[in-house]
Amino acid sequence: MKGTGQVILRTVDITKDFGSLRAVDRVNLEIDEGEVRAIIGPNGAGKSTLLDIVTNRSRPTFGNSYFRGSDITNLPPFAIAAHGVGRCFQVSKLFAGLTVFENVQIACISKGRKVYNIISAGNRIFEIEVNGILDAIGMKAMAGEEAGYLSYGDQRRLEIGITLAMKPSLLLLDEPTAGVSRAEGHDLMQLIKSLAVDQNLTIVFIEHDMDMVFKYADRISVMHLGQLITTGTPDDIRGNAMVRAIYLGEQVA
Amino acid sequence: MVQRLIHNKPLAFGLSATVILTILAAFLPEHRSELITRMLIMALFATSINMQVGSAGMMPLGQAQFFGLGAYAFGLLCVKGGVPFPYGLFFALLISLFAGAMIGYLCLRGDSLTFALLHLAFNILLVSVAAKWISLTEGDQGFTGVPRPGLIPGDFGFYLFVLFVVLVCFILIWTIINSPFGKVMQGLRENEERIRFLGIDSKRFQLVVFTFSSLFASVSGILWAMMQRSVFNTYMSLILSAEGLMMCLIGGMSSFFGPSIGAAIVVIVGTIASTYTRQWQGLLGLIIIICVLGFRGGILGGKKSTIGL
Repeated sequence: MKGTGQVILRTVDITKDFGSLRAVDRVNLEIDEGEVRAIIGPNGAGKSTLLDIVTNRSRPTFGNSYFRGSDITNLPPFAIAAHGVGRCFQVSKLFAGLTVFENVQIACISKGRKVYNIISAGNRIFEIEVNGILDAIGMKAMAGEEAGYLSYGDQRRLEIGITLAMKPSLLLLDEPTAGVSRAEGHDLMQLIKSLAVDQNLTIVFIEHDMDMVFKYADRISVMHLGQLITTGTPDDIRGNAMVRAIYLGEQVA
Repeated sequence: MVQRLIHNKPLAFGLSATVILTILAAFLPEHRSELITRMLIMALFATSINMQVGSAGMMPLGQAQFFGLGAYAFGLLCVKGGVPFPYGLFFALLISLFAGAMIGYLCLRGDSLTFALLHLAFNILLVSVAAKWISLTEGDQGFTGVPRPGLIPGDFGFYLFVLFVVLVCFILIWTIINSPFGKVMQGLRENEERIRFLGIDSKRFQLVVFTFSSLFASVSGILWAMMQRSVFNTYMSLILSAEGLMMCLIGGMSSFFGPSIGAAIVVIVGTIASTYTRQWQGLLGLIIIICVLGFRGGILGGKKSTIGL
């Protein structure tokens, strides 16, 4: 397991009620700097809701989240993003009508603090940075294509590129390989894994495909019915009776 | 240079339009040359709307309130306040700027639908203030005596003044929408949530777009008041708000000069048709329906169209 032992993200008693349903139940999660962490669990376990709360896309009923020790629970999403928490969604959120190049470029404009620059010519600004990222995600040849027309896998890849442009230190990915062919899925995960190593990025990803999880995660956290059941290395999880019970649909004692 | 000019279609279009309009304004009889001035002012008004609609994906349903605000601010300062022309112009712009920022701040409290409806609600509010505050605005009667600049006398001189102001505004708007700020505007149009997750305060950003857009609308209103030498509360009517959006729709919202083409069509159709029939707004409605259904994305079309202005 990699990681410096420094905790980059900590959630304390995060809880979310939807009416009488407790979607997330007192989750205490600690993510170490530099690790690749998978969050697994059956549908409705509260995985996406947990990521939504960490990025304040939805507010917790109670509980707090801390990024590098500072409380980010009540910060607006744009401020959390500016702190260095990147987010890729279950359904890709791109600038569909703009080109691949422009999608990454807008992220670079934000990171380079040129959002309120109304004087400079915008067309080729941050060209070097954008091309560097397109190289890293292997999409340089598609720079001029409209994002909305890309294949599902390429849209995922592009969204990772957009998020990378923000130079995040923590990247949250919601099912990065869902709806993508097996080969494309492995390509994506390999890209993500290499980014974690090359750019010292901490990665948290939600995933249903156990092959991907066991192959690419340093540690795995298991959620069930809103609760965090356990966290461990792939070997720990593989041997965990309770996890097996959850996935076989048996009653957990 | 010539090569570059031909390839730069918007620049070529802008220059040739300027030349043609100026020749027309110089040689047409006086009551027709005013038509050219009207077209220019309405083109600026429509383009101010399109900064929000076409570029940033916002829907300002009541843009005429800023057209009217500019006209009233300038008219009242000069006519009732006895302020000299240049100071009147300066303070009218300042008032419009603050009003735009304030109304924008309040309109941007909710989601995009709330924004559109609040924008409309402020328009309705300001129209009734202008109609009922008779001691200040003379209500429905309006007031006359709004000055024109005295640099070059005559209607052609005034046309040149309007041309100059509109050109300066167009260059500013062009610069803004082609800047890094403009790129973010396009991103906002495509996906506001993604903008937020890129660390941009989308509400604050929209407020800046809004304030620019409102200010340009106020400039067009000030020019209109000068042209008519008067101010009426019809200058901020909901019909004008709707017409402005229709100009964008007819000409095409995804091109820089689309709204200007739309403005020219609305002004020409309005002027000609209103001499024959009082139902000319019905005719205008028909044209809009034809344009929307017949030309997908307006006359100048989308960015993939061959005209591509």
